[in-house]
Amino acid sequence: MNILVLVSVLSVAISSAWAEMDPTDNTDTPNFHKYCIIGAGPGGLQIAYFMQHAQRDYIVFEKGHGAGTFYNKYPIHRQLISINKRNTGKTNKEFNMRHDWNSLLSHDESLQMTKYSKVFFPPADVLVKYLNDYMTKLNLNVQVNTTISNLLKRKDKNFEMYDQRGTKYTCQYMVIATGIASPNKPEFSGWELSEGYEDLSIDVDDFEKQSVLILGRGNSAFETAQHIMGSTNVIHMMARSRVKLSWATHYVGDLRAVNNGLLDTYQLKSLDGLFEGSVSDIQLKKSQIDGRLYVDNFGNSTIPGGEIVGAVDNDALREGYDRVIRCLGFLFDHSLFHPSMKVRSAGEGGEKYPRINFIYEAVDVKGMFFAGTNTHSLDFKRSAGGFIHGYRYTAKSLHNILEWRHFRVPWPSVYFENLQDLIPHMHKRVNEGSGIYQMFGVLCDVVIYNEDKTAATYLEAFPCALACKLPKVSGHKAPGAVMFMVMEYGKNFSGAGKDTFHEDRAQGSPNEAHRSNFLHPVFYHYDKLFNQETFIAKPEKWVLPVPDHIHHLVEDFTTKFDGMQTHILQTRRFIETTTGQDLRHFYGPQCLALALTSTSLPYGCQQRTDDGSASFIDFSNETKERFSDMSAHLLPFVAMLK
Amino acid sequence: MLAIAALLLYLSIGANGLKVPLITDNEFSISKESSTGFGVILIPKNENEAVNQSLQVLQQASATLQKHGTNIGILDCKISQSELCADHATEVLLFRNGKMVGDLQPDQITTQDEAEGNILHLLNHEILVPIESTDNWVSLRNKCAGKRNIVIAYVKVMGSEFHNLIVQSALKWKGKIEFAYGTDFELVNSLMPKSPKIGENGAVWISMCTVGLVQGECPLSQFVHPLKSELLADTFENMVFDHQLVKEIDGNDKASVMYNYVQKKLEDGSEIFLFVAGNGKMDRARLIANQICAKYFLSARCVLVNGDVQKSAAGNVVQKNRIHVTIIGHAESGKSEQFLLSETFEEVEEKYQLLTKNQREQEDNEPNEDDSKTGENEEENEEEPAGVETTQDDPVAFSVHTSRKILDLYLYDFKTLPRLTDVTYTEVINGTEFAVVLFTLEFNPKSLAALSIYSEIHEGYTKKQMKSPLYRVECFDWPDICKKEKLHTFPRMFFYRQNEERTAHEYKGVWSFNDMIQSIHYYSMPWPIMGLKDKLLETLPENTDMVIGIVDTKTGEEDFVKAARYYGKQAPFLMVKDEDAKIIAEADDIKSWNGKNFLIQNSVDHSKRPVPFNSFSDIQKFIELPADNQWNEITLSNFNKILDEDKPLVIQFINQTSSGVNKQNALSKTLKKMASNQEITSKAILSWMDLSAGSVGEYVWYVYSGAKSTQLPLVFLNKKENSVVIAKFEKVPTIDEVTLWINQCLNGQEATSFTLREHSWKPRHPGYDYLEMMKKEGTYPAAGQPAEEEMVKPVVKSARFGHQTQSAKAPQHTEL
Repeated sequence: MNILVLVSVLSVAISSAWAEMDPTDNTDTPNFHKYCIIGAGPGGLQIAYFMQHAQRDYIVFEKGHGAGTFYNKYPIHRQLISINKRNTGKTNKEFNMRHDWNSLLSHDESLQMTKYSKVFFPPADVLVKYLNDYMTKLNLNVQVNTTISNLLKRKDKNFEMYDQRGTKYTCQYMVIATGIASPNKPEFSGWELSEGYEDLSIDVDDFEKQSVLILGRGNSAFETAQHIMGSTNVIHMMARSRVKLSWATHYVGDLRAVNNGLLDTYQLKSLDGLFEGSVSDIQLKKSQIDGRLYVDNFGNSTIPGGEIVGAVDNDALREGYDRVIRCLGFLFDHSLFHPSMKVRSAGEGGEKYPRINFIYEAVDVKGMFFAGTNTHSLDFKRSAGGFIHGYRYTAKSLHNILEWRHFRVPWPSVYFENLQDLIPHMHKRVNEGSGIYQMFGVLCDVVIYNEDKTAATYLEAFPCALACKLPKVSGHKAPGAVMFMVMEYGKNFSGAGKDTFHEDRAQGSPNEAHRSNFLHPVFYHYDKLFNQETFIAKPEKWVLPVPDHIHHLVEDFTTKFDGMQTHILQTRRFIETTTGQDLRHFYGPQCLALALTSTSLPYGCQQRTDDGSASFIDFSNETKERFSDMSAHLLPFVAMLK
Repeated sequence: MLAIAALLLYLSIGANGLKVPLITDNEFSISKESSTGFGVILIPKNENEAVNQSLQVLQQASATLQKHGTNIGILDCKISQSELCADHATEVLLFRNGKMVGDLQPDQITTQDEAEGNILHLLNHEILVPIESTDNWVSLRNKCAGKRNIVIAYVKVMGSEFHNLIVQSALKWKGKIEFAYGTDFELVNSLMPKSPKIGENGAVWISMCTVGLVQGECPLSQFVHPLKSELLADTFENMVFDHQLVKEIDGNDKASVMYNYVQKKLEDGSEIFLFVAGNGKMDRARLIANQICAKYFLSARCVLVNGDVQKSAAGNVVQKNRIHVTIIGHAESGKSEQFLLSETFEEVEEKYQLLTKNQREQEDNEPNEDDSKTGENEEENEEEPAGVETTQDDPVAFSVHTSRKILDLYLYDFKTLPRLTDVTYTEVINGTEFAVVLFTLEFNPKSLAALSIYSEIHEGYTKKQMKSPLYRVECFDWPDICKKEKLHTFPRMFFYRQNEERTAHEYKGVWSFNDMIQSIHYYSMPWPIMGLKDKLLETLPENTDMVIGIVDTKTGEEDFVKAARYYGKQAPFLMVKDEDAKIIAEADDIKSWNGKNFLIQNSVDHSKRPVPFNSFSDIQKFIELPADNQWNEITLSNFNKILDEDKPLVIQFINQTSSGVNKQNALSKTLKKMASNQEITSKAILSWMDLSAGSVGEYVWYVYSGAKSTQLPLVFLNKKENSVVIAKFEKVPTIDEVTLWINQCLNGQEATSFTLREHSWKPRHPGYDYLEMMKKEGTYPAAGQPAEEEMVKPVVKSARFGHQTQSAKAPQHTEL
């Protein structure tokens, strides 16, 4: 036996032994990174950006040849339905992100979709270009053409995986950002006779003079109907639930107005129509007589050439179809995991998403986090976490969470030594904060008071569902009172079938603020941070448990909450009530007069601000004139000026 | 034809002795000579239906007119040869002393009131003074001051019932009350107290001029009750007999005097403010009482009792150095009395407002039959549920949020003050020109108040046609700039010196015009200043502590620059040489300057003596040397620091415009000398305050002294003891006398004149909680219980399959 043979034999033996070994026992760390992100779609790129900015060791694996490859194909009719609102009349960039639904967050102002297209609903190709620019301009560490498989978690708590070339990678933490990209293909009887949205022709001539049944009622279904309705004889659409209009539900995943042409042709009596039914209940059959497709309900055959004549003679589907198209959405693709990884799906309506907890971590696999649309189980049908304009903020939340867990970097915050300065900051956030606006009811701004409620720490866009774990998640202690600011619609304003345009739908007076219907800020004050049990027991529809004090800023048609009396004054009253402080501002001459005639001074005369200057201010000619118009009984030193 | 028939019938009746008789030309010639006025209605030659209506109205009005000595007659132009018939149609012509004083068309006498009002007004125009300009009003007020009270009416429609009421009242009270009227709302509105309430017919104000001018005005108040004849008549009657706002009861009066007066006024419907003044508080109580009753004289009277006098009318309730005020509701109101201790007009007024507000609320809550029928009351109540307080009680927020100018400045006006964008901001801060950048946030009232001052400074540049270096960044418009600069509180101001390495120097001073502009001037100069030009001397901040180094040698220059770098954050440094040195030396009157290296302190009081220097350590010693003179004005900039020293304060109040200015200056000189004495300054801080009108010093002195006048206002304020002692020097004291007085104050040997107030400022308005409102509405959720609507979930049934659906649920909360 020569050396070569010996080596060869040994090699085979080792390989066999290796193959028999439990891979989770491995401890080697080739190609190691602290974080491995799978997928260079918008979710993956967004979390990569934050990691890059924080100078963390990360890598993004992308199976395609560039970023955002999902959008090379989808939506198949190539029109995005996220708005690209280029003009708001405002220069506030944070505010403008409230109305730019396609851009990712970054410091580079050239990387805004509004600068890529003038079209309100831009073509998908533009988004692909944008995502690739985002990746390259920000120099993100993306390894393209890398299809990851056999991802598993080892006993040493590291993850390992292979690419299509057999190269092994190891990571301490995973961030799965593969989106929800696997077409949903439920196996009902005769499903093979149908065709999927993913394979559908986009040539309208292919639908000329055809009768079409579309299964599903999401935006892809309506988008398809919209595209072909000029060619078809008739379009019927079937889904489990009634159509939900996004303007009524305030959920952007429901039917958007841009796609709702079929509602017109249905209710304006032009042959098209919708009906309710479950795919699992049907049998799709091809007639031997005319070669068309018929839906056979169990026990009520309508199929020409069938064995019986069904009892129902007015069945809505009795005329049959030339095509049946599945537009049943997409599922999370579990195929990248090694069989040892048990990643369950979220339950009860969120089956298409992986099961995760509120720190975006797989419930079944610690250390494996999710970013992007696959985190939408947390706010499915409630907020925008399934869409770029929502998950760009949840990705930021994830990053902040990881920063504290792994590097002890607390959640970014602003400290206010003087509560008078807190109130304007709150109003700034109320009026510009994009994360809390897009992720309404999901992300909260947080005010953590010090023990005697004389100072406060302000955190932006913290997951409301983690409020009870605030110190553990954020790295900020909560020694006493806390307040959360949430953007909410009226609790009985949103929902399928709701008439959101009813009369008297808007409140204008602060007296009625708690009855506001449109999106408005709500402040929840707790004298002490609640625990998890209290959170779980919160009333339905409530974002947070019933607080010790609550305050609503009355809704505003302009969505700008800057009314001096209706908004700003009311916030001060609330903060004064909950902290017990007198947060009025005084003029310097008033403070001086009080300092020399009284035993103590009001808060507004004795505080200092961040710059070290006194909290009071002197008159200008203009303010002196206005001040002298004040009612004399309110304050000292007025009468002397008259 | 029917009208003419009626007219003929009427003429025949009139001829039989009714009140408006048909008269002959001869009778007319005699009647028009009447000194109390005569009116004649012309019956035209041609048929005229309007005359019938006018005749009927005149018939009704004639009785009233006659009461005022005015008769009316009918002149039939078909018979009369008078020239009037040729010149006039159907008109009422008014004569007095043979002269025609006015004429009225039929449409001016359509009702009895209209006819009475217009006729009497025209015939008696001198009894109603028209207010057509501010001068009219001032002239009338001055004429009546100390003599007669004035009724001023805003009459919306001349000839209306209300106009007639005023005319009749003017006639009734002729010579006793002055009556004036205006028809120009803008004018009346500008002259009368602010925010008047204008009724359907007009408005009435009462000016209590019989008490003389109080603060340059006769006390003036609006009559806020319904403008009904009986109510006005009562008020006018009271005005004739009431000539004092404050009834003073001194020691010689019996208690019964007070009780009788109070009883009478209560019966008249007035409310009573009963002031009982403690030791030394009589002047002050009088001042407050005058102010209160000047404002509320229509509904209240003041009684002032000297509580020092033993067995005073008010009994023994009075405390030393305090003023007791009792507000007594009149008998009809049945309201309980309210007692309070008071120090200022505002406090009394606040209590009164509260009392009357409570009364109003109680009255509002009483069911009103009319309201319940119409449901109007319920609607009003719904509009304003209890709880939400919308009254602005923040003075800074109030003044900035009600100023159109400031509102425009921060929201709409992009021209007045340059606003920087992210691009222009970078250009400015990286440029080479001197620049000042103010960061504001529109939701912050203080930042808007600062913006207002800043804008006025900017205007100063533009008025002088100088290029303003002032810029502004609004952080709501450009949050990324502010985020980058880590600015979260506002306002903030930064300076960038000309040509210097572009370091941002943050403003740390008080937000006042003077302090801000001085800093702007200071930073506008090159750093360190190597050559001083005349122009710079002009802009040298006068009230800022500054170390000026006059340098003569190279080493002197090096030492000074080194010191500037080392101590530059504590105080500005200015280095001058050569000719500039002379300018400075002359300007600062430094006699000891020997042309060599020298240090001067430029400050308010030049409290350090100029010294020569030869080394860095000399400069160091100079800077660290305590000020020689510690006699400072108490200002916004230093009062916190002064009070933090925890020493008693001696404050001289100085009014340079007062008659005793020489004495004051002499006292100042004494105190200034004393301020250099460490033995004194170790015990107390010697200081002064401006006492000119409208100043803080005036207010403080007013509170300390009750506005008692003295030529040498000087106090000793001991914050630890919360006490104030007012010095009683008749003539300018010597150093020894002041020292003795200070020591006596320190030893508690001087009687306290004023005790610092515990309730020093008006409390903020109460807050509210929507949770409480929700509880009342029944929309408060019980923990764990679904909201009402959720309890019945919609069940969706398919038309074809009968399938039921369920809405998706979010995942359950799970452990981290």
